Amino acid sequence: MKNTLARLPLVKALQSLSKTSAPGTKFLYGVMAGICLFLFTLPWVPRTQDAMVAKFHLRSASFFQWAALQLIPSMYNFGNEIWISYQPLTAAVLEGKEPLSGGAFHGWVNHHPLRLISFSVHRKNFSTGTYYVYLRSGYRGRNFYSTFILKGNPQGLRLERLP
Amino acid sequence: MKSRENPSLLNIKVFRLAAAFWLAGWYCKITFYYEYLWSTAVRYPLEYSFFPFVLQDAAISQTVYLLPVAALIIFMTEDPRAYLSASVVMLVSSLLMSWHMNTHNDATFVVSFWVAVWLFWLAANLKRAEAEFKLHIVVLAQCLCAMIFLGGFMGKLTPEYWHGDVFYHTHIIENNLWWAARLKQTFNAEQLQGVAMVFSRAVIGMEGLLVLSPFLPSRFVCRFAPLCFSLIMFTNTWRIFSVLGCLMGMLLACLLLENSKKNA
Repeated sequence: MKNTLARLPLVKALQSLSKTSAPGTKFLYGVMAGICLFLFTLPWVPRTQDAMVAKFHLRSASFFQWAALQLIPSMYNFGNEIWISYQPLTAAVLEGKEPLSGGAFHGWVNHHPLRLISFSVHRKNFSTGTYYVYLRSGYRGRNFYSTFILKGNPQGLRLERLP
Repeated sequence: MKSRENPSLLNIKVFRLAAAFWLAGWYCKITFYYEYLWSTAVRYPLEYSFFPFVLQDAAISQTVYLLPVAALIIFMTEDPRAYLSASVVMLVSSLLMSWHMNTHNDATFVVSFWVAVWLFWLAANLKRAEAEFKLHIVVLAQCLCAMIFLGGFMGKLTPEYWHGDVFYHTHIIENNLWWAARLKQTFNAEQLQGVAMVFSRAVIGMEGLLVLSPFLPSRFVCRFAPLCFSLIMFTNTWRIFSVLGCLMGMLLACLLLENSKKNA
């Protein structure tokens, strides 16, 4: 058993850490271990979930906090939905209890649900008028909502988060 | 056959192979980025006060997107300083693109950032040839691969993925690729939900396996993971090469190193 463990690449590498003097090696293992520990807490620690949703919804307490979280890998995380409407939508619509009125858009998105606006060659579609943008991210029974107003004008688009 | 290569030349080969894939991934969506950064982002700039002003500026994202071209210098010289400079350029570019308003959504840049960190560490130690160092080149790459997929795996441990709801919408209903169109023609909504559930669980399983990378034999990981990436590209779109290309290159470079160890 001990021999089998010793043959595992990571175990072998960690055992030989003292033998290498390559700068940064221990630091790299340490940083990756820290990020993995953080990720392991995701399903069980609400604060980790809150932090990740704040990242996806661009609403972290500060840009620096978001910038740090942004480097934590999170491809295709959470169940994310986006609604874009000319009029404010009710909670019943967002929860699927009432149908979506005509003209409003609803879609599922992999991660970073605002990407339909912020990362799209179709931004010009929003260049006139005011839109209400709603995000829902679901994770293990918890639902997280954010609301934005998107104002379009010929000079560009302006996004504001509503409390 | 015994390897007669200078060890530092082997490190250079490893660096070059990984960097070539990194650059190919970075620029494989150049037609999209040309339209998006040089037209859409200029004509319809998006302002959101959460981001610092400089990280909303279209000119910054354009410049940073082009910066890694400078890394091509590594294919013309064996000077270690060029490798260090190239890796710094790749590191800083991917970091800024990950933080920029226009490009933060694209996972390309976060994954590229981590591979650039590995390249920077390799460049800083380019002259080392001891067996322990070679071991760390490969195991750090395996750990990096595991960390990237751990992020995806943990975020999918939720009913929305376990039951296939997300992939049902994003990959089948809202997808116009040929295979999704074929599925929609062949199956009804309920059957499609089932297909999405199987697909979703297969993805979770594959990511779970990749998370175990540091505990699996290196040569197996360096072959299996690029195969998985190819499968992901086939079932999604080739454009996902922008995200996975750098990981693929890093692991193939490690396979080159492993093969050289075997031949030595």
